[in-house]
Amino acid sequence: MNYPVWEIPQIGGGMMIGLIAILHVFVSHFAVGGGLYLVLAERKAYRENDPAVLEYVKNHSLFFVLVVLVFGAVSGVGIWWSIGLVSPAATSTLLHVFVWAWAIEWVFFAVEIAAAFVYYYGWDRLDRHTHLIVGWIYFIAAWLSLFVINGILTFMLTPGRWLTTREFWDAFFNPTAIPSLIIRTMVSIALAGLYGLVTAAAIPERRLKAKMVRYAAGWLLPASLVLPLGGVWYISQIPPLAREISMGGSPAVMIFAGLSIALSAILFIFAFFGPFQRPQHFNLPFAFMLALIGLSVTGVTEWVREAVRKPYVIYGYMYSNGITKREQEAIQREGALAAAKWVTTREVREDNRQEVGRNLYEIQCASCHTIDGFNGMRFAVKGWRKEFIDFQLQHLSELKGFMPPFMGTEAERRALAAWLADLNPKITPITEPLAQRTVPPIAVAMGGAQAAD
Amino acid sequence: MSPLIPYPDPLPLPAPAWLLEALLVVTLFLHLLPMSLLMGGGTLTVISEFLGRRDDRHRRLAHATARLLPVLVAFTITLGIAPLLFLQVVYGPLFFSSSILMAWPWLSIIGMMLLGYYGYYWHSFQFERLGRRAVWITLASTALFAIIGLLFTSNMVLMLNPARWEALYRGGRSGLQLDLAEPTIFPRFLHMFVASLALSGLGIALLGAAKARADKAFGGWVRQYGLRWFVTATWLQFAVGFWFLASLPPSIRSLFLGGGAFETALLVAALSLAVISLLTIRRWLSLGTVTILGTVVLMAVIRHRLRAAYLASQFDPGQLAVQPQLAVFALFVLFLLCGIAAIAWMVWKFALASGPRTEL
Repeated sequence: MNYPVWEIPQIGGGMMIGLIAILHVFVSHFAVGGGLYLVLAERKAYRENDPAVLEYVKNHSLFFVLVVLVFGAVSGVGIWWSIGLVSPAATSTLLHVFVWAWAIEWVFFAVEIAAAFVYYYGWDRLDRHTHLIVGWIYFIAAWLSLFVINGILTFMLTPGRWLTTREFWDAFFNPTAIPSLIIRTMVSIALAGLYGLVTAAAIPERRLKAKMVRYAAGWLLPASLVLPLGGVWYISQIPPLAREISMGGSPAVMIFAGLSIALSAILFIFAFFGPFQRPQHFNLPFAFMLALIGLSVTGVTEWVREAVRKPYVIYGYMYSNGITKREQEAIQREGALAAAKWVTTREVREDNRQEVGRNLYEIQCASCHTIDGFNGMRFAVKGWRKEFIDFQLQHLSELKGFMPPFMGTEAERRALAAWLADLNPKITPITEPLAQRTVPPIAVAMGGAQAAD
Repeated sequence: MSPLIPYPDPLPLPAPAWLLEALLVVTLFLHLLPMSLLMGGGTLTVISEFLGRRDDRHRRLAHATARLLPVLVAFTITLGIAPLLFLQVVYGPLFFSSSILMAWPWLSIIGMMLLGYYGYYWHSFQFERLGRRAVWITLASTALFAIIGLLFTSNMVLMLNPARWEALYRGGRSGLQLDLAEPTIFPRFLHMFVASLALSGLGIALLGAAKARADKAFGGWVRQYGLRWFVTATWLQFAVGFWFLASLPPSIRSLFLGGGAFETALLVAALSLAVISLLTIRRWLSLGTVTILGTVVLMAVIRHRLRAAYLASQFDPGQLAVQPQLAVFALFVLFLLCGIAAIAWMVWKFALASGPRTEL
């Protein structure tokens, strides 16, 4: 409302962020856990004095660099790019609360990148001891960057005491920060194992392959024990409405939440009875299948995490459409068009209701809805009369708890209702007289075509 | 003042604007170095790869510079994050608006960055095997990074021109309103591009000076070749820079031509350092390097003054509400020092290591 609007046809802005974010999360958690995997596997090679293992770790580190340094880093920038385009007001809020946290995260990121290069290019150049230290520096910096970003991410769902104190530390150490950090750390370690399984499955030599497959599979086990506990702790800390949405309040969200748990369980069971128990039978297609399940878990879980935050983008502070609760009353009184910047009109007249409706849709609905695609409005209001839409708009937050209330004057609301009603063609009642019968009833019953001749 | 400029964020800035702007300029300078070496280095690698088909010295040079390109991408991105962060927190109302107008081109930067980055890696790892085809990969990646540069220029100019927003927004909410018609965009982009050729030429000269210790003939040639690029591009810059200056709106241009004492002094100092560099660099490489880096620092400051001149009476960061987060800022400084120490230690260990020379 304060900013221009970017309408993305079919998928909408939220999905655009989601697509980039899911891929980034799947790689960036590997970036953290994978660092630990590299140093521990390297140390294992030295301890067992096994040059074959060391050779595997070297190859794995190339894979690591190509996935993490390139895709992980660029897609992370991509999330930042996309949130600024889709939710500029929320991005601005996060920047104002957390710019120093982000600056600190940037320092860790820079150390991480530098360490990864020195680690990768230093294989045959640095002595073992120094090389391992560089690996540890990488992992610690990567985990610290997760630590910082986790505080910012969790703030959006549970800003906690920040809502009243406006204190940085209340925002950062919010109610879900610690349980979420535990979950993300465990996911990182599990993903390190999952990616490790892919490179281990590609080893040609049988003995080494069996050894490294079993080793990598073992990395999934701690997560299978700790994640359920972390999950329960996390869920106990989220707002009641968010909990209700994920546990039946919204069937789609509940199904996805269920999928997240079910797919995680399948992944751990497969990993345990497959590569962990019978590493010699493990192969690359199996590894890719497990990785694909891992990506699906990431996808559905992140989707649920985003979905339960509705109707807010920053819980209790800013609605999904970028309007803060503080602005709400003034907008209700003065009108949304009066408060907005990027609108084509500021007054509601008899002859510009379409224009008003369209403007209101852009500033209050388009952040979650499209017209014809995802969450499409044309379908949502199909068959609804203008009066019924207007009634719905008056009670949005009661009828649909995950939607922000409509904010604006009565005239604006009516204009929006009229515009929404006009998205679908009018169903006009039939008033014409009935047609005369030209075909005898018996002929119709015997089969249309011949009878009509 | 344009009525479209969004209201400032209701939350106060977590530090005075001057501090955030100072960090913006400092980190932008740090970003400009690898960015220029990447843009110019990619271009010069393409040229050397073509010339290398007949001249073995160029083939060797291209091999050496091509291996640096992926690392330069990483440095450019990493050092680019900080200035963009400080830009967004201070100038968010302007930056978010202009970015949204050109949302698709702006977002496409991510995809192009990914492709260009992987292209350089592919090229770097498979240089020998790719043979004559290698040059097309460098060319494609370099072209992608040049387009990214042009899109950045376009957005950085558009955020300073709220008067152009309305006409663009009237074109639709599709996020396809790329504004390349603004008269300063091409000279501004060319100014940056020619600077990147000059700095990359200098980079190659420094590489040659380092190589001369092991291979005097080749290293000496590389040094001379790099300097030729530096000198030619820097002389050319006087013309391009003047074109850029001439393309600026008259009221802003005059600030740098005597109208504003500080702005004029900055420009004179920057140009003087560039001339000193040109006159001395063939004999004293390090003096020429230091003086031209001085020009880059001053140019980063000039760029900031130019932004302020554009936004005068439209958007004044000094007016924004402030509530400093002193403790978190102190923590940032502390971690920054630790981070620099950690990086320095690793690079030092790497440089001193006695193992086989797997050069970056």
